[in-house]
Formats: sequence, structure tokens, C-alpha cells
Amino acid sequence: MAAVPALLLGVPICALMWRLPWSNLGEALSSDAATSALVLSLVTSLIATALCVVFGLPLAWALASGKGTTTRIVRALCLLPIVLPPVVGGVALLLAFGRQGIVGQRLAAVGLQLPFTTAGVVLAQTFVALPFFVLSVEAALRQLDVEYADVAIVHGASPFRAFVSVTLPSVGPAVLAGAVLAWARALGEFGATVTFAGSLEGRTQTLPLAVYDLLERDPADAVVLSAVLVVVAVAVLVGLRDRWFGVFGSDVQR
Amino acid sequence: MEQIRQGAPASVVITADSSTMQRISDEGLVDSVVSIATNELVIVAADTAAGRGIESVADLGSSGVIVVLCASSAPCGAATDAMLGGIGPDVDPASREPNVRATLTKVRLGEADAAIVYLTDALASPELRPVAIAQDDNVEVTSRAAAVVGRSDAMRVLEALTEPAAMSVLAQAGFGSP
Repeated sequence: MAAVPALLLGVPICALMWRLPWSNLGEALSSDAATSALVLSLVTSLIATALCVVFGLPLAWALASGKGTTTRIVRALCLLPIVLPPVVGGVALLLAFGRQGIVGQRLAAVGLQLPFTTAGVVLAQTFVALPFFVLSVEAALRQLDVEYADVAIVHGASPFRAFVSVTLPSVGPAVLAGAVLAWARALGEFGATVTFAGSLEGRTQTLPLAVYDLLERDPADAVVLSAVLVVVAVAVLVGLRDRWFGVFGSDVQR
Repeated sequence: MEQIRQGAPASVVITADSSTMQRISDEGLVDSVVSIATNELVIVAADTAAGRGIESVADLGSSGVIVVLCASSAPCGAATDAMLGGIGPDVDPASREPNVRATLTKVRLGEADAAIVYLTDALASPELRPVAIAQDDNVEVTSRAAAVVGRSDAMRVLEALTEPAAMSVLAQAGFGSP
């Protein structure tokens, strides 16, 4: 039973690698469009991940500690981007942060523009990636025994200190797992980005967008660029996995 | 094109321009190519401060105008490049959208002030103001249809596409006759 899903996931990736045109690998990778897309993708997805952690932690904590209907409604809204087709997410972002959007109108009044900018790419990536982070961290926080933090507070720690010194270290692995998930989602982001931020080489054309553009022109180069995405993702996931078990694992056991 | 190459279950393929069809037919994927309609480029301007001021292709180069164009890899983008290359104004697009519909959407949503699209797309969006491109500068693109090799049911469709009934539907949408 395990073989079927493993094949379903593995075969397309292997097919991609199999079709890799080794002869023009260097040429395809050294093109300006490819390198600028790769750099742009790495920079924007890492910033988006950082934003997910900074804004996602308090949100996950609020959702985990809240009960009532309001919490449930807020949680449903926060998770919506997972089920929303990314293109629809992009339209929603335009209606909010676009030039004519509810928030965007006010931003435009002070000269701030998000669509068609690199900042817009980061916003689109954060929008689609944040739920993955929140989901992962909230689940961990819920399973946590709140008594540990309470004990710290009883012994004179402030609630903030208790959160940072007691709660956070014990959900560390979940925070890292959530961050990795969010980063992976941001790196592969296509629909919301192209809808909200557009596609321009060096400014908004991330790797997935460059792949889509190349597919129309030169499918072989598109395969090379896709393979880069796979290799980068695998490298980071493998690298983080060691770190995850090494650092956080020993902390938790202690 | 990649879908036809990978054996998508299609009988007939229609391309927006002739060079795309040429590439497919060079690979031996299709035969019986027929021209079914012609199209041309037009500027569409949004009802925005900068959009209202656009009267010509040259205006697209003025600062403060947000212009979106089709990507060079899409037929509408190739036509746009050919047209702009012929005239030579410095248009600095905010984005090169993957296809003509996406290009149009950016203007319809008011995010861009103007775009260059096909005449037929402009006619399908009456809320946008079309700005004609001078006949001498414009480029004509020819939509072609062809039978995918090995599909016996394709000929009937190709015949129907060139019948008067089909021609009049295409003419109503703003296509020219080839």
C-alpha cells in the first residue's frame, strides 16, 4: 500500500530528472533570466518565511489559547489560503492591496505600490505560506501542557518570559517544521504571484514563473530550471533535517 | 504546444499566430493547416488618471503610466514586440503577463493604466477604452487551425471552421477574414 503513493510522488520527479538535457545544462543555467529568477526566488521566499515566523507565532499562540466561536472563525479564515486556488488568492490580494483595493488605495495615496513590485511577490508568498506555519505551530501549542508555563509564572516569571523560556523551546521543532513548510510553499508559489505581482525578469519573475514562461519557448530549458528548484528544495530540506534533530531534539530531551 | 507534443487527446489545434503553428507543423505534429481568422493589436486604457491621457503608442512610454504587455513567449507578446520594434518608443512594462487574458485582467482590475492586446479582446471588454494603433505600425496576426496527425475526426471540424457560418461568428467577435 505504501508503494503506490511513493510512486505517485517519486515517478514525476524522476521523470523530470531523467529528461534533464545534460548537454545544455550550463547554458540554460547561466542565462540572465535563470540566474535572476533563482536569486529572486531565494531572497523573496526567505523573507516571506521570516514574515511567517514573526507574524505566525503570535497568531498560532492566540488560536491555540483561544476557545469560543470567534477563535474558530478566525482559524477558518487563516487556513482559507490553503484551499483557495492561488490565482483566486492573487485576485483577493489585488482587491485588498491593489491600487483600487481597500488598503491599497490608502497605500497609493502615500506613494506605496505593491502590485508589480518585489515586495508584492513577498506579500503573495507570505499570504499562501502563512497558514502552513500557523497550522503546524498551533497543533504543537495545543498539545503542550500549559502547566509548565504556569509553574514558571507562579515562580515569578512574566507571561512573556514564560512563553520565551518555557513554551517556545518545547515547540521549537514544530516552529522549524512550520517554517520549512512555509518556505517550501513560498518557493514554489506561482498563481498568487503572477496574479498579484505580475511577471517581469529581475523584479517579479520568480523561478516558477520563469519555468512557465520557458515552457512556451524552450521546454528543455524549463526542465533544467525545474530541476534546479527540486535540487535547491532537497538540499535545504536535508540540511535542515539534521539541524532539526541535532539542536532541537537534544533540547527537548534535556 | 507542449501538450500536443506530449500527446494530449486533441483532434484540432488552433493557434493565435502563424509562427506558433509553424513550429508545431515543423515538428510534424499536425497537417492540413488552414488560416481561419486575422487579428490585430490595439491599446486598451483603463479609466484611471494616467489611463485617460493615453492617445497613442508613444503615450505608453511616458513616465507614471503603468503598462502591462504579454510575455514574448506568448503570441500576443511576440506581435507586441514586433509592433513596438517597428515604431521604437521606449515602453517600460510593469509586467509581461503569461497570456493575453492575464494582460487584459490587469487593466480591467485597474492595476495597470494600459495594455496592448488583440482587437477581439478589447471588443470583449467594453468597459475599457480602446485606442487604435495606426494601420502602418500595426501588425496583423493570423490564427490558424490544423489537424493533429492521426486524428481522423479532425477534417470535419476544420471544414466547419472555414464555412460561412463560422466566419460570421468570428467576424462578429471582431476577427478579420484571412
